[in-house]
Amino acid sequence: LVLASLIEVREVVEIDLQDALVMATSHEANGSVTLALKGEIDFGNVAQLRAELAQVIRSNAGNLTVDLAGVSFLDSTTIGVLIQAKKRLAQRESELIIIRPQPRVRRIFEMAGLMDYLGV
Amino acid sequence: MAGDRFIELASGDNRRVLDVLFHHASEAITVQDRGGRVVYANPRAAALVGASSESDLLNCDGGEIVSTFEMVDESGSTLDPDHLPGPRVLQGGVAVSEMVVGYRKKGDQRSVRWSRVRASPVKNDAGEVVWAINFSLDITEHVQRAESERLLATIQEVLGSSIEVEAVADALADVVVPRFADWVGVHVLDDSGYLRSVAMRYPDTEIVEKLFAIIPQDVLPVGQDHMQSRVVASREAETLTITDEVLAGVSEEVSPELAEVLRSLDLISVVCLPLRTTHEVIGTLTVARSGSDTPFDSSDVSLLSTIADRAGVALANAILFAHQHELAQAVSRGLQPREIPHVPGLTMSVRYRPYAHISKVGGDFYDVIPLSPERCAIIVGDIEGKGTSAAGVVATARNTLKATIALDPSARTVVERLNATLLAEVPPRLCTLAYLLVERHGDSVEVEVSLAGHPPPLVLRSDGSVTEAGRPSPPAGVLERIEPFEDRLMMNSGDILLAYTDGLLAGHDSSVDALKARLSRVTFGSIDDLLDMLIETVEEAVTGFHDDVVLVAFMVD
Repeated sequence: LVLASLIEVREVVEIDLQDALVMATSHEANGSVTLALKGEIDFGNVAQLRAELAQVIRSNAGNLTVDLAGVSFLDSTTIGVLIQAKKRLAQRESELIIIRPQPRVRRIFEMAGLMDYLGV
Repeated sequence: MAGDRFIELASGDNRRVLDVLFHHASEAITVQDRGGRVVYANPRAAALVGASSESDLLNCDGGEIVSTFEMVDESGSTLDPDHLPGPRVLQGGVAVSEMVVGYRKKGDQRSVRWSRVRASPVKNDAGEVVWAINFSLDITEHVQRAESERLLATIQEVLGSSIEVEAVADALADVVVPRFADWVGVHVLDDSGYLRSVAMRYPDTEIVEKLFAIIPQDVLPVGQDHMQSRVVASREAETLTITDEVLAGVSEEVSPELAEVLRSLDLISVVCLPLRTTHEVIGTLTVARSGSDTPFDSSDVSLLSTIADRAGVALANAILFAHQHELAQAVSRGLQPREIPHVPGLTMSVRYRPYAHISKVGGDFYDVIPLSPERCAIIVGDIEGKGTSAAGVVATARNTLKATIALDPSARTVVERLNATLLAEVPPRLCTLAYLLVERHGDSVEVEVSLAGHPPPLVLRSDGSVTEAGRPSPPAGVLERIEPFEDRLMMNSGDILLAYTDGLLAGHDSSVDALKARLSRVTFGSIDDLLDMLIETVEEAVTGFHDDVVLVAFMVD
């Protein structure tokens, strides 16, 4: 058991359903998680993202990386949800890391003035 | 011994066997002779037609018994007595298969008894039919149960078909009258403690008007000693059979006039039932029968209670919906300014497209606040979230902004105050804001644009160029401290500034660049036309579920 935890276990679960927001979740041995999202995220499906993030934060101890390479749009409510996730992670001294935003999404983060805060 | 004339045909053991068989049969059995006379009836047969003993039935002409009843078939149409199994057997000489017969004493509209009836011929040695033996099984309970189930299913459907209090109450009243009662009143408790009449059905007579002149039915105060008030308090149905004694009591304790009216109405039985949810009583259902009708019995009350319980839930939903609708309207009216003040030197136009959800309460808000004849502040903001929970925060944000701007309109103070206010909310709410300070200098206008996480306002110059105003800065309600950049720009006659919420971007490929490109191409008559066109684009692009949209624009005259 001790040995097993020392070896980096990488498990990738592909979900990739038609309407799924979360394309893939990968867990690392140190408790960090990467969530790869896809599609457009707005008030129509942001509740789903909120639930996914809450669940992932609850069941994993480490940092949370959100991969936005597959996301073509997100709105102000989505940004609010990401901020909440960051705050929740900060409470237990973990970090939210946002990676690979498409140019248009990057522009939305810039417009919102939150590039630094959200660690994009 | 009842039926001796028939039984005496048998003798000795045979007779005793017949006697036991007939007496203990679960069916009602009658024997008719060739002329249709009843020559034998077992005790159940006598009970079925309400005869005090079997002997009363004997020697009756079949038609005679039948004439005191009205008979109906399963569909409810009147049945010709000659078509009953007995007469058909006597005529045709062959057994007649079962048929369902409903019968009621003439004049008694509601207590129908149902039987499954069949008949078999008895022939003599010559092969002639001499007797018809009728077997009839009482299936009233079965039919009533099936009818109740059907009725309840119908009620469920009828009650569910509307969300308006009056329509639900009307549907309830139509279910009850005339099927169960001659009168019905549906009362709903309002928030000032009155039972308000929401539906009523009654025989249309002048006497009823006299009654209503004495006891108004449209509003009943709770707490006074009347049936509905007692039912609201006890949550239990109350049944009242109106007798001469009761009327004498009314005459003595209330007024002889009322007793007289009640007497002439010929009311015989009144039931008042609570309309309730699992938590509370929300009103009452009162039903009454008059004239030669039968008083409500326990099975009537039990069915009415089931109806009342279903109606209670439907009415509670309708009441709740009405309240929420009213609340949402009041809230969204309160959240948007009543009118845009006239600012000299500027032509201003605004559009607000509410959130698509039934609540119509979104998170967008805007306002124009005059500071002096030359100066005004414009706010366009977007609170995270929707619905009633967002509405409270929108009101807080808007009021904070207005109050702060009135004291110190500098962007720094305004954004700081908003940030502090939102961080104090539990949980903190994110709010984006475009804050514009507009000041006229002669023919031109100076605008100071400060943003907090908000999409940049766009400036459409009279030469056709489109530029962004303001610099990106974090939204309010996230960080402990935020400092807006104050971006200054000059505008001249014919230049237009457009501030908006991100709902507008939904119609423009979700990008500010696409919106800019579009604005640099469009031609329009006035800024009203421009805003209408933009709203139209959003409506075409986004079908169904959509965000709310605020547009505020002004053109320098």
